[in-house]
Amino acid sequence: MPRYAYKSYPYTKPPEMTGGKVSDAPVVIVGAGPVGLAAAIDLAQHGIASVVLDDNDVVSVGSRAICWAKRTLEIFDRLGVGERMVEKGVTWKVGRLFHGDREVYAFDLLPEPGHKNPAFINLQQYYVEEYLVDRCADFPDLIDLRWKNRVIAVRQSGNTVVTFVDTSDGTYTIEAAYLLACDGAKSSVREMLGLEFAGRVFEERFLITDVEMKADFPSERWFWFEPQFHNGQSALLHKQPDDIYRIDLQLGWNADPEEERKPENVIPRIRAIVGDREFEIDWVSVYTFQCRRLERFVHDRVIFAGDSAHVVSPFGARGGNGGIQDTDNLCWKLAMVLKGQANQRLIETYDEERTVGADENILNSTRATRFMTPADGAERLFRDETLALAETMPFARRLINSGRLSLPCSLAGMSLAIPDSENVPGGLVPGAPCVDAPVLGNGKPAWLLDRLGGAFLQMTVSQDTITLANVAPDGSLGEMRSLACDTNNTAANRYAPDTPVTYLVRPDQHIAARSNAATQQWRIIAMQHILGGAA
Amino acid sequence: MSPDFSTFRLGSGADSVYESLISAHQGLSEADSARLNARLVLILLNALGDENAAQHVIAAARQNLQNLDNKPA
Repeated sequence: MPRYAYKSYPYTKPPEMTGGKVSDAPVVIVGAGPVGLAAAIDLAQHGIASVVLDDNDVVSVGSRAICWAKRTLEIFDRLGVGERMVEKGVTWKVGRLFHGDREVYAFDLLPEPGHKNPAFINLQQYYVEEYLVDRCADFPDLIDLRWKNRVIAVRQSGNTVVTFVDTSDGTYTIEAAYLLACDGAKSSVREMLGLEFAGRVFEERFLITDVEMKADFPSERWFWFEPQFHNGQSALLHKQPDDIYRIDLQLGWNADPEEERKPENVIPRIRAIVGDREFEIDWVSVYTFQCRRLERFVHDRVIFAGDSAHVVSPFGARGGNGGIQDTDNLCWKLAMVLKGQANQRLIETYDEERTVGADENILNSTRATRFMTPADGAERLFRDETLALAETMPFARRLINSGRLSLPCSLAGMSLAIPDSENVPGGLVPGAPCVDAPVLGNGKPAWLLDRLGGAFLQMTVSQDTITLANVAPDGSLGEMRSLACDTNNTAANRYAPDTPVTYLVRPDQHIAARSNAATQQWRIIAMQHILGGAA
Repeated sequence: MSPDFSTFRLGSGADSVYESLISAHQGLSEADSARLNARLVLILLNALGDENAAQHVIAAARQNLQNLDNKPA
């Protein structure tokens, strides 16, 4: 079977060192992981050029982030890569919980039909990065991807940030208006700025393995508490493409990471789960759980996104998905500021909205971690009795926490979400992410989110029709286009259950405002509120 | 008819309540932890405010415990 073939991307001597045209891109992105690459593509779609610097020249080694949530796939769709990922990925929506050998609970993460994207796909991070790199190539004039270019210093002064870069040919500098630090949990930019990365470490270790084997496990997430095959600890099984299975095993705090990584110790643990199937170990890692975040994600001209800004323990798929939601939130704001369409304060709302998102992710993953690795005493007693009660009392099944899986963040109540000025009946509240629905465009089946585009939008939903028009920064409307609801009126049921509702939709597909009496004046005030940075 | 205690009723606040419950035990000795649980049960029974319901939750909690040799009188 075809194992992933890592290829290295070529290093090219930077133009700054060859006397060529020096970069005039307004944005430097540090880190060509999923977050940095998504940011480059998002900015390019807004017409903003960037230079992406990465100290390496290959995609992620090992599968690492594998669970990509529906909201992330919707963002990837907007970036033009979602369908390729879904096609390659393993689609799933059911999680099964076992206690010992018995199944105690199964949950469905997308119980309703009428969405283009599944609840989750599993896709190795190396594929995600490869597809994003391929997509970057569609913007040769806007994305300058530089491998084996290592950032060694960052200096901010006035309206510019100067980045010092080291290569095999020596060092050079780039000046830009903004630097996005997407350089991961061990962010060197964060270190250069001397920023505290506060949080907590959980005293627990997990063995994480990719196992290549032919097996017929269903496309589901299986989580065991105290399985017989793993001496009373926890275990997780996920199916990935290419006959690769992810198996995570709790080891306890006293486990020796170096010893546990050795094949002679890994193989018997896997053998206990998969029985006498033939298998090969593809990748092994031992990790501890940490939940940390920067106090602020915006430091003047240096902006942090993804793991450089926040890390969470796994089992909620909140790391990679949280990072993609960061860039989704940031890039349109940065683009509008750089184009002079918005006040610089708009970038502060990225800090506001995404620190709340990070806190939500940290809260959920901390709770899951405590349930999975209870402290001795009352904490363990309650955990064990929850599992015991779950056998007979359904309520207790809902208390079992093997990770609450990533859901889109609501921005309701934050500065950019404009409160209703009148009593709007039903639909989505300002701050909520748009919900997909099957629609008809020129009589042909289509998906609503695919038709929103990446600009501010006015969307009026009535019982059978959806009218869309782009909204310019001054509040004026572009050309109207219309879609029809499907025969079940799904879009109307989701957006305008009673009477027609008009929404102002942000470029990141969140509801900015809604009204049942939209006027030019309503749009102007709303756009001024948002583009002024809500100050 | 026995009241329904098995249906999940905590909604989206469940994880938060669970966290508060285990956090309340942090830093307590084993004896004080047991006292906290006893107080919690008494307060909850009073909050339930119904003798019939209280009898049923007590019986439900006792079910399937491994040592049922000493049946209550």
